[in-house]
Amino acid sequence: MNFFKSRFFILCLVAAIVLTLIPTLIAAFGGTDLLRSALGTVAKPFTMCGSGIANAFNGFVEIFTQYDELKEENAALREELEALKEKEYNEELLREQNAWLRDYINLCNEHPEFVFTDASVIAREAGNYSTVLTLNKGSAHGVKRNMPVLTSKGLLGYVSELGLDWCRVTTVIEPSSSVGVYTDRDGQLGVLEGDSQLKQNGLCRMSYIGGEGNVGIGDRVYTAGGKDSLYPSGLLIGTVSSVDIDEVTGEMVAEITPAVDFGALESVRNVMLISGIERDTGE
Amino acid sequence: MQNNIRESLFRPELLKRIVIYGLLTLLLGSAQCSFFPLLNICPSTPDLIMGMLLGIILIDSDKSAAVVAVAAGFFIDAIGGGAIALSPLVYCLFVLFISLFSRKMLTSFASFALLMIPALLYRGVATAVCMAIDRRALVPISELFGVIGPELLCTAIVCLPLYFAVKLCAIPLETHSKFTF
Repeated sequence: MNFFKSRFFILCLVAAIVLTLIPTLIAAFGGTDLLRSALGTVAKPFTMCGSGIANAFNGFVEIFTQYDELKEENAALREELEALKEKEYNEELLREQNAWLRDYINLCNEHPEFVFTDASVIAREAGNYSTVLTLNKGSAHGVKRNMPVLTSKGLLGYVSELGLDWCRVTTVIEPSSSVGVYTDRDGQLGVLEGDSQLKQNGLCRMSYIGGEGNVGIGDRVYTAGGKDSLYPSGLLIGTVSSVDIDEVTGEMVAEITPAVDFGALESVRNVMLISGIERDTGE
Repeated sequence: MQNNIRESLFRPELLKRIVIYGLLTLLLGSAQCSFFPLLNICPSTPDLIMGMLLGIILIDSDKSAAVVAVAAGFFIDAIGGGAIALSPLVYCLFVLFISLFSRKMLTSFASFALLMIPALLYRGVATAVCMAIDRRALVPISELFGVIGPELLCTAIVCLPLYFAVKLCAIPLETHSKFTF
């Protein structure tokens, strides 16, 4: 064995021992080896590059090695997502139903004299501006022609067409509609009519304003009722949004913004029909 | 005297070796410390420096390998080592151990493959010793095999192509001088 006689080998071995001992001792005493940290800095771009390539390679290999696992996980997650969507949908339905029932109770408390029948909107007029709705209740459910139809916000219209288990509602803003009304401030009487132009903006007109014509913006408008009226007295229709003088007749006319947003009728899902009036409410 | 030392230090042959083996150490050391440990398909980190040293021993010389072993060991410990920096000593002794067998071998791939056997044996023993030093206790055989087995397998697989890499890098060195201790 001539290794131990070789000066070169002995030098290398001594260097190796020194380079083993010095960093170990420095680390043991909690110091920092400047040469090692410098080498680490020099090698940093290479190590970063190496780890980057390894990560990219792992990502590529995972496509093949974890395909089945990922597929199963994907299916499970899809199933879970469907279940959550279903749950959310059911919750949304319950929330809507709850809101509807609360409105229904409020309306019942507000008008204890009326007998209400609830109904849902099942179809809308196929035009761009729907003001005729189809409900899921008909003559079989006790619904009769000309019955007033309300939402929780206000008067919607009346039953204009009747089937066995369906009926159609013509809204108060239709040009064919005409209702006797009064304002809440001074009890000013008038007639609320549909207007083909105003209808486009979801509005209607109050005309034949009698007396001193004391109608102001913001006045609330209610149905006046009466013997020949389709509607009982005291149903909110809307508020006065502008007052003007008719150029032809010279009479005062007012534009009414209905409480029901006829521009967003698609959001109306549940309505109430006044199917009867109890004149004696326990008195 | 000073001129002689300067001349011997700045020989073009030596400078070439420093540059080539320095770059090779930088690349393989970085791969050993940052690429393979992160690779999911690789069950254990292969000892690329050992493969490189084996190639240098066979293609260049024991002397070159010994110097590279000390430098590469220090470098490996600097970028990925723990508190106990044993690598310079481990690699230096590795060169010494392998040079026992390599002197009468041809510089062929078959020789390289054959030398892998004692190299892997050495690697296994070195790993066992390093583990024992690290834990300051003997490591159970079953656990030892669990660590050494995959390490040796990965080292064998990854290091075999390294012969060609080292041979390619040694082309600019031109001379094939078989230095021995």
